[in-house]
Amino acid sequence: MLNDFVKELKKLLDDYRDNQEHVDAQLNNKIEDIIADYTQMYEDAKNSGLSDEEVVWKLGTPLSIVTELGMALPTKPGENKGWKGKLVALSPFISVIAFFVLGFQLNLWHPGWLVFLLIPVTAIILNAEGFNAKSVALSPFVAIVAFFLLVDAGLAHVGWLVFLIIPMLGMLHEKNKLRVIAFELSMGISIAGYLYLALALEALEYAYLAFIPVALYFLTYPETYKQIKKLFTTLIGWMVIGSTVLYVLLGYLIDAWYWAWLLFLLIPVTAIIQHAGRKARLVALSPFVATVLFFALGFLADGWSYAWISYLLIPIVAIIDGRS
Amino acid sequence: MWFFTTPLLCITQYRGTLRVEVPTMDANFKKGVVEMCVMKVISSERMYGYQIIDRLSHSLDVNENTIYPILRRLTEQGVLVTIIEPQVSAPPRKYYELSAEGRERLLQLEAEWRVFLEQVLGILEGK
Repeated sequence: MLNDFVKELKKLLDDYRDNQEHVDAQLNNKIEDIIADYTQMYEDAKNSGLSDEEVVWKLGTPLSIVTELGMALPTKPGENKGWKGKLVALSPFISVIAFFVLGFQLNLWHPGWLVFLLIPVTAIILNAEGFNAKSVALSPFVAIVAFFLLVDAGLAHVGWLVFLIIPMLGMLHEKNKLRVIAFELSMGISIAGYLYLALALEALEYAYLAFIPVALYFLTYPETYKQIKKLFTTLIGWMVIGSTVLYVLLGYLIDAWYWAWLLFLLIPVTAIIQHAGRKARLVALSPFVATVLFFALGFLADGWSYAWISYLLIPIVAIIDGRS
Repeated sequence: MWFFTTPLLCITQYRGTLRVEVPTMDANFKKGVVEMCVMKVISSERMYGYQIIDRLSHSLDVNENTIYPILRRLTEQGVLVTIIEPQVSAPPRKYYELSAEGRERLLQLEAEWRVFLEQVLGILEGK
């Protein structure tokens, strides 16, 4: 990941240099200096226990770095998006068309709605840097699709296990390989144990005992717990606790597993409210508002056939925002 | 356990992908203040790049990727000086230190800022 980061930064700085009329030794030295500084800072950040994603969050993406340094190439109007941007912009409409076809032709309103996940998935595939970042960022969506397919197959009681793919993939980026092996093994054994207890022995009430290896992992590597604990000092951390507790409560008490996961959208929403500017906030929040509306209309009012209209909120907000 | 790890890892990803940055008047105003804060934290001890970013991000709600350009600018202006220190079994590390000119400028900025802050607080408190 460090290599990807440095490579991208170097490419952007080289592009800047190649577009200058006069290139002198001073500019070359400056570029080398910037790359050396960021290599050092990246390593320092990793050594302080941050994951690659957290490091990029802290130091900024290569593009935002060169922009802040005033070394980004100016983009011509209409050129800034390219085919990738166009494809991302088209994805909501492709999803709506696919949703209609699945719904009207095959009466698959559910799970046809899952095609809307194509919107974030397309953006991640086209924009995330490197295979590692792509795989981790895509894992929640893969998990959601797999979860609903398992639920439809009557395996809701074990379906939630697919969400464990997220920490399992996330942990692969950890520097300490022994810790990675220990975590993946403990998770693998726990999942296998849970499946055996739940499916073969039909002892779901004792299945949670299968997670003893994961508990042992956390006792062996308390620094993992400390890293997690650090996140709980923030508003976002509390949103995580709140939404998780509520999700589990609603799931168990009123069997709201299908729709209560919407509570997890509070996490990115909080991040946007905290970090986006007031104007950009509206556009960034619109997909989440649309998704909540879509599911509220679908699940609560059984209006799947017209709930897709809520997604039109995204281009509407973007157009209004663009004009303002 | 998944109750904790799943959403926590989601957070990292969402924080990484959904950050939106918009240059505004507020951002420019903030940059000026951050510049003074950078000088202040370095005034007590020499620090390396990541140390400064980490120190400031714990105390200020600031976009961390604006700090490094500030360090470069202040170094070019002679407010900061860089010192390369050799390390045992690691590449040499660059430290930032406040120059004599930088110390003078910090004193001046601090004084101006305190007066300004007092005036603004006076207005906000209806005095």
